[in-house]
Amino acid sequence: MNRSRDGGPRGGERDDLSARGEEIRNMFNRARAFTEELLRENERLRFRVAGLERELEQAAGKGAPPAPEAVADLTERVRALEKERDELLTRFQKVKGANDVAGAHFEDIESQHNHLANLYVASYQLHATLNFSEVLDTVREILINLIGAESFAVFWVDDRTRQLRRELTQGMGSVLPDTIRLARGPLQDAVEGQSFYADPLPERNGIDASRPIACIPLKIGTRVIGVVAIYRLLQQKEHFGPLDFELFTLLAGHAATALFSSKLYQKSEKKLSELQGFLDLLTAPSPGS
Amino acid sequence: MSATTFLIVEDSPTMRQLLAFSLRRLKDCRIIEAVDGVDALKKLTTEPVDLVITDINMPMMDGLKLITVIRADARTKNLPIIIVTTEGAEEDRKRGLALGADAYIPKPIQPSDLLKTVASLLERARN
Repeated sequence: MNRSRDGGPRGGERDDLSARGEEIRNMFNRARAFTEELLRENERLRFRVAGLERELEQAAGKGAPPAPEAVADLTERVRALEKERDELLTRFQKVKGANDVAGAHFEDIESQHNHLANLYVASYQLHATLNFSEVLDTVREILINLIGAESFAVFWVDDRTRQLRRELTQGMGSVLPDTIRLARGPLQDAVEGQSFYADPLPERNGIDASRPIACIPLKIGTRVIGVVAIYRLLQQKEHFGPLDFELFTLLAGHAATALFSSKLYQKSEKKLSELQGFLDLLTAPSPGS
Repeated sequence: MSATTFLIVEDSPTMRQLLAFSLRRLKDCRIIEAVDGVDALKKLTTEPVDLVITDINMPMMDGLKLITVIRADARTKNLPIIIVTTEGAEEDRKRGLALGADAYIPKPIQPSDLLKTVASLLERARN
């Protein structure tokens, strides 16, 4: 996505989205005005028919039978008006149908915009730093603010011991040990590359470290470098929605690369600084010289 | 008509960016960001603001204290305030509204819901 200097989308894209929204709003307004016009016209015709019927009744009440031509004329007019009314009603139904379609389309666009906003912000923030702890903070913020997770943990896969090492926890108390030995279950499945989502969600009871409600492997290519395990959602969040699954997919790829590259960067910085210290020691003038 | 100025008070950069991103869909808007209540009060003294969106849990000064201070100041007592927070319990909502917030939106937010609330509060403030 194109970005402005402050991280937002370029003005052109924003204008485009606003223009589409504006266009749909205008279409709504035009459809509403047309519908109102149809209703007014229908009302007018009903009055007219009622008036004619009244006139007919009055003429009949006077005793003198109406002239057959007048009756025929009035009957013809009533028929014409009824036909016109039926046509108007048909048009009204068509416009209403088009209005409903446009409404559904508008809601779709709104929903897509919401998704894109969340995904854009999440990916932007994940790659905004090369500091490992800051990337972890971003993962924490995404899980709390965008997904609505209350208790969760991020683990690093220790390739040597095949254990999970805890890197981040939130709302877990002292339930989680520093390392978890892998056993059959969602965590083991995640290390093997499979996501897990409990459906339906269990009751909000105590937290069991081995039974997360969602497990997302953090992958670089096919290699799993870590796991995000969610144990409980915020109380106002009742279930995972389509946006959550998109965010999980984003986390699986982007959080993995962001965490991995920041860890590498941190290591290389440390090595560079050690090397620099060593070089400084070698090139420093000796005390006697 | 001059631009509408929003003050976003939120310690999470991710959430600040999402709120700003959502608000920028409105025409003619200006966004000021603050990282906590203290920062927000500083900015309120120097910038004219039309609406405040604040989190509750923040370092230095939380959102509830910020609302109390804003409502106690004659210059800002009528400023529309929206709370956007992870605290979703009914008692939290009641407490926020009792302190003077105009709306309470639990996280995770739907940007379209936020925009509707913003539009209705701005409309009310104008009338």
